[in-house]
Amino acid sequence: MIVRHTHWGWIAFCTVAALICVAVWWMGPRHNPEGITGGSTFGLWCGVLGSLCMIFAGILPLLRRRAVVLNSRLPPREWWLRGHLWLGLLSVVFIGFHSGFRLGGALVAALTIVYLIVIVSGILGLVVQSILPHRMTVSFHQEIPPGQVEAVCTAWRKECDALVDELCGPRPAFAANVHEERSNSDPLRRFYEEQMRPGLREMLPIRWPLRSEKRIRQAFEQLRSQISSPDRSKAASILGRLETVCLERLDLARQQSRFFWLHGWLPIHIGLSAALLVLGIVHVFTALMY
Amino acid sequence: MLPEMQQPGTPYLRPDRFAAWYALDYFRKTSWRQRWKWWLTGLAVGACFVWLVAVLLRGDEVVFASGPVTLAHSKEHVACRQCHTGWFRPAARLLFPEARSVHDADCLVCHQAQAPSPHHVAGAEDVACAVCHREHRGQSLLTQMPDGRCTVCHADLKRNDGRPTSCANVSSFVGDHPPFRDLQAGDSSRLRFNHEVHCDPSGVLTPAGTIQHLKCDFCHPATSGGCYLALPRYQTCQECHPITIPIPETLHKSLQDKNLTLLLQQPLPHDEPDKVRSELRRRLTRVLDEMPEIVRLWASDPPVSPFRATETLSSRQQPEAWLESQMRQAEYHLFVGGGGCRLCHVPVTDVTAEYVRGVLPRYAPTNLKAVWLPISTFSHAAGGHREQDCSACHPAAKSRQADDVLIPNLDSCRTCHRPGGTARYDCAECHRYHQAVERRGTCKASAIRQSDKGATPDVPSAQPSRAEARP
Repeated sequence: MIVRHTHWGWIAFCTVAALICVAVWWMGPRHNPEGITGGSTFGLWCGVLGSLCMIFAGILPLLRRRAVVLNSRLPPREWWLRGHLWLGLLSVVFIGFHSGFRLGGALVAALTIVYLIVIVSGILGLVVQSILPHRMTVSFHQEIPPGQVEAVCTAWRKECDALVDELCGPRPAFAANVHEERSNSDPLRRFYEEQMRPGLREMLPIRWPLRSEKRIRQAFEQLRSQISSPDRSKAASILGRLETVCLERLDLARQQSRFFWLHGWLPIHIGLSAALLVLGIVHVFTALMY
Repeated sequence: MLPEMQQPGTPYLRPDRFAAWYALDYFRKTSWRQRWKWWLTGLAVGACFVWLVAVLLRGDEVVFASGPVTLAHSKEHVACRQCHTGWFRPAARLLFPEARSVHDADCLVCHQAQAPSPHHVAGAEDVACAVCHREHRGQSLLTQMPDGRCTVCHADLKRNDGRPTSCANVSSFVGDHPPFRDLQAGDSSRLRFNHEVHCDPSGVLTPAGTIQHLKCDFCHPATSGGCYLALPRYQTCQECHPITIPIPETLHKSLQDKNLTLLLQQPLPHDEPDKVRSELRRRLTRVLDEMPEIVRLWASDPPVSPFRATETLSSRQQPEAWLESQMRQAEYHLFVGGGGCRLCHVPVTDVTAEYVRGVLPRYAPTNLKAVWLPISTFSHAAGGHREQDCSACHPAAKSRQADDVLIPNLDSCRTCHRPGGTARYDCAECHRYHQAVERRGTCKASAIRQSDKGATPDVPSAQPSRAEARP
C-alpha cells in the first residue's frame, strides 16, 4: 500500500484524535504525581479506545474471507485497509497513555512486547511496500509474480533439458554408476547437470556456482572453447540460449530476494496479531476483574 | 525484459505458448508466505495458550498484575484475593474516578495495628489508603511516594492568610532542600570531650598502663534495632575516669594492712555533688571507725597543705579534725581540681571561690541529644549505612571540642542520595507522613517491626538518666 491522497481523511481523523488525547492528558493526568496509570479513569479510557482501534485493525483479515462479507454495502476493502493502517498507528498513542509507557507485570510486558513487534512490523511493511515495488519496476525489465516462479523454473528446466539432449544426445535412461555417467558425458552435459540444472528450481541453492553474471559469462566462454560439434552454428545457438536462461534465473533470484522483503514481514505481523488478540482478551478480563 | 528474451524464436514472444510457461492455477497453490503465515499464527496462539494454562495450573496470579508487588507483600505471599476482595471494581473507574480496587477495610485487616496518624489530619480524613499507597508500581516499598505528593504543598508553603510560613519551600532533596535546622542550632550538650584524643589511631593509655584502641561503638553502641546509636554512658567513661578518693602516701600502707584501701579506692557514685559528698563522708567515717590510730599517724605528719597551715598539733589529734581535713582535700580534688567533675562538666560558677566559702560547686546539667534531625528517620543498620565507615559521615577524628557538631550535613548526605548516586533521594526516604509528632525520629524499619509486635519503637531515650547526666 502506498500512502497517497486517499489517505488524507484517515490521517486527519487520527491526528485530531491523538491531539485530543494528548490535550486531555495535558489538562489532567499530567499533574498526577504517580504519572499515567492504566488503572486511572483516563488510563482505562485510553485502554478502551486503543483496544477498539486494534479490533478495527484486526477485522481486515476477516474481510478477506468472502463468507464474512455478508453485506455488499460495507465500505470497500481499500477503505478498511487504510483504516487498518491509520487506526493501528493511532492505537500507539492510546496504548502508550494506557500503559504509562511502562512494561508492568509479566502478562502486560508480554502484551506490550508483542504489540510493539506488531506495530513495528506493520510500519516496516508499509515502508517496504511504498518503496520496493517502484524500485523493482525500475530495476527488473520483466517482473515475474511470486506465484509463477515455480512454473517458470519448470518451463526453463524442460526447455534446457531438450536443448542439451539435442546437442549431446539423449540422456541415458539408467546409469549404474553416477561417476561413470559423469565421466562419460561431454563437458556440456556435465556442466548442465552439475552446475546449471540445480539452479532451475523455485528455491535457488545457497551455493549455486553461477550466482553472478561474470561467472555465467566465464563458464559459457569456457564451454564454447571445449565443445567440438560438427554443427558449430547450432551449438552456438543452444549455448546462447542456455546462457540466457542462466541470466534470467539470476534476475529471478534477485526478484525473489525483493519479494522476501516485500512480503516476509506479513507472517510475523499476522501471527503476532493473533497472539496479541489472545493476550489482550486475557489482560482485559484480569485487569477489570481485579 | 532482457535483450536476449526479445530475440525472435524465444517462447516469451509467442502468446500461443503462454500456458507452457505460466501457471494458470497459481491461486490454488499455497505459497511459502501463506504456509509461514498459518504456522506462525498457530505457533504464537498456541504458545500463548500453553503459557496461560501453565500459569493457571501453577496458581501464579502475579503474572496478571499490572506490575510487581512491593517487597513486604511479596515476602508474605499475600494472595491477590486478600486485598482484591471485590470483583470487577476497576471497571467502575471508567465512570467514577474515586472507585478503588482495594478498599481501606481490606488494608486494615493487616495494618490496623499501625494506627496511622497522618501529617495533615484534616486533609487526610477522606483519602483512601490506595490513593497514596499505590501497589503494582514496581517500587520496593509501599511507603515510597513520589515527591510530587509532598511538593504539591511544600514547594510553595503558604499560611491560610496567604503569607509565607516559617518553613522553607522544598521542591526536591537535591535541589532546594534547606540546611538541617538542628545543625544550625549547634550542640548544646554542655559537656567537655575531645574526640581527637579518644579516636587516636595509636590508642589511649588506660589506668592499667595498657594501650587501648577505641572504636566508635565502644562509646556509642547500637540500639537494639541497630538504627540509632545509644548515648555514651558514664559507665563506659568510668573504666578510665573513675571518681575515686585520693589516698595520702603516708597512709597507704596502714590502710592496706587493715584492708581499707578498697573502700577508698572504690569509685564514688556519679551523682549530684551533695550525694557524692555524703558518700565520701560515710566512707571516711568508716575508715576512722575501723582504724582510729589513723588520726595519730596523720597528726605526726607536718602540714603540707595550705588548708592545714593553721592547724595545731592538739587540734590535729582530734578525729573530727582528721575527718574534716580529709573531706576538704577530697572535695577539692573532686569538685575543684581538673581531674574531677571539671574534666567533663562545665561549671556555672567560680567553683574555687565557692569551695573556699565551703559551698558545693554547681555544674551545668548535660543535655545530650538522643536523636538529631528528629523530623526525619534514619537507620545505621539498613541500607548502605551499615557498610559505611563511621568517619565517612562523622568527622570525629578531627574534633577537639564537645560542641563540634559531628552529624553529617546536607552535602554529606547528597554524596550518595542524589541522581546517579547509590541511594534514593525522594522525600519518603527520610520523612514519614504517618508519623505522630511524639514518634518522630524513630527508625522507620524498626518502628514498623516493633509496632507490629505492639512494642515500643527502637529509639534511644531522649535524655540519659539523671545519675548518668549529672555528677
